[in-house]
Amino acid sequence: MRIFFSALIVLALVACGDDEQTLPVEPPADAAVTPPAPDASAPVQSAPIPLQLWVDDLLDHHTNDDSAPDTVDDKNIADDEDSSHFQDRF
Amino acid sequence: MHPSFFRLTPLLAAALLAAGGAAQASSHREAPFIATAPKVDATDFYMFRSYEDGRADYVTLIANYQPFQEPYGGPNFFAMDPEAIYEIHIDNNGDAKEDLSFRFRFDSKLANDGKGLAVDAGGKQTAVPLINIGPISANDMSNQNMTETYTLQLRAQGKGGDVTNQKDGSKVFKKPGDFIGTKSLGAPEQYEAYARAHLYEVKLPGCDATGRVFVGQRKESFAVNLGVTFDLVNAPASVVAGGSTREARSLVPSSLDENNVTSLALELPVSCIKGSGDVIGAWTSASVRQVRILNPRSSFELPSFEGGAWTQISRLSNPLVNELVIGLKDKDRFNNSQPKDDAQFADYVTNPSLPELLEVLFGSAGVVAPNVFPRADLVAAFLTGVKDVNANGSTAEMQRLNTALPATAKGKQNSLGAAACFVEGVLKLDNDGCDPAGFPNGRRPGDDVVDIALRVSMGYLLPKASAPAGQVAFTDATLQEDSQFDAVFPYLTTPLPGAQ
Repeated sequence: MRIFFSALIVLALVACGDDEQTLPVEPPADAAVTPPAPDASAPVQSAPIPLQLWVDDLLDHHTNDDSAPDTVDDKNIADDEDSSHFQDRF
Repeated sequence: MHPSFFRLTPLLAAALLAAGGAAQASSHREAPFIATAPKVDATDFYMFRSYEDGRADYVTLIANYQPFQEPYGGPNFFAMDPEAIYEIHIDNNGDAKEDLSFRFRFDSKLANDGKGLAVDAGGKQTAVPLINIGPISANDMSNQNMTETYTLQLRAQGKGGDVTNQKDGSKVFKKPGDFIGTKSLGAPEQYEAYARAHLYEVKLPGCDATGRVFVGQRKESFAVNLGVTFDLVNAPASVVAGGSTREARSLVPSSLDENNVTSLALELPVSCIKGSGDVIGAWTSASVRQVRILNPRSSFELPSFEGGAWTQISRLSNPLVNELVIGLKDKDRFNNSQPKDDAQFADYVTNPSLPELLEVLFGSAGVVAPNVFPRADLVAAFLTGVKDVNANGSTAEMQRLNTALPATAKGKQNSLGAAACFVEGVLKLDNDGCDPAGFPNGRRPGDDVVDIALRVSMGYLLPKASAPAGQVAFTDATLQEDSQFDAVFPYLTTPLPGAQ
């Protein structure tokens, strides 16, 4: 089954998460990811974080009333556009 | 920290573009990002001492959402977002942080146990594509294919909990369907009866007195000469600067006269919401989950999977602030922000751009921007409140209401509100026309905030030496006044029908 549009990630406008733990996710050793083009206004960060892992972390550990949104512009999020990762969410 | 976005896929980008409209108003589609999310776009916020007979001990707060509703906008019309939270916040101790938050959460359900109403079509029961299949009234809602309900929760230190129906203790309230048209919902007075069947007296956690709540479609309450305003104020200077009479302020019908809006209205006992002082501050916000995964096999119940922290994408208190004060580059950030952090936007108030633009546009007609900086008058009007009237100790953008000042009855309100209580910046409560119960002491539906904002921004509250055009009667030539509204809660009027 084709999965071109199996999932699309929409990241809502993100507030500063001053009082929240930032993402502890590290890319897997065999991750073959291409970092997105850097935002001219944001400093380029070090190790890229796979989008899927970052999203999983948000979904699994921050879906509650007390979490603050995670920040975006201080991270190097790498999207390999493999949206099949999210099939199990439905 | 500056927020940023990921690249959007072409499919999503197309969807977002398709959702776009074409205009803006009080806070209608006022920032680039919120223009992509109309269901959570706050358009106007009101807070005032209730002026309905017998309700003097109450404050009414109304948050309008979903701009530019064309009454005929079927077949889905304007349901609220079940994946969002809508909140009305109250700061009652002057620290620019919410002490009370009323949180609305919505749910939409199809009739027939979620399968939807169906008709017999050649021996098969086929689900219908419409949200009603026959007339709906206050007494019979069986033809309604989709119903919306909501819960209302008070979040407060030590006294939070569910707001419940005083009558039966239920935690779930029904929202009336939108005014599809007169064939479906009867004449406007019948629709109003149907809508008012959804007005609830409620028990509030930690409060002995009851309140009232109504959520539903209303006629758009904001009046503005929109196209002209955004086309570099495309009107003769004699009109723009000629609003010294009611007639001169009502030359043009509101651009929004044919629109509806969705209102979240609360009426709360003063005794239960104020702190040790009489002044309360308030604002509304809407938030969605940080992550949305679109379902490739979408259904009514599950078009997307949403999770992560609540992320605020709409914020509104004083009208026109994010519209005409905050710079384009910071509008999304403003919607993302909290009043307690407003120091980051201070320059927009102390050194505003709008008066300079008006001078550029109408300088040849003698319009001159105020020449005193920082603009302490605007700081008082929008960020601190006015000393001895509605200042509450904080410096943050929010409406402030002195709950000790009595309401002014409908028919006696001055549409220029409390602004008429000042003479060249000096507070004179005995000034002719002074109505301290109006904007910027809170905001009533009938306060003409466009004219007030134009005049105040050009220096109405300043001495003449600092503001050569400060006493010019600026106007958008579209009148807003109390006669346009009801005298009873929720004050905003019956929505326009989609057909009649």
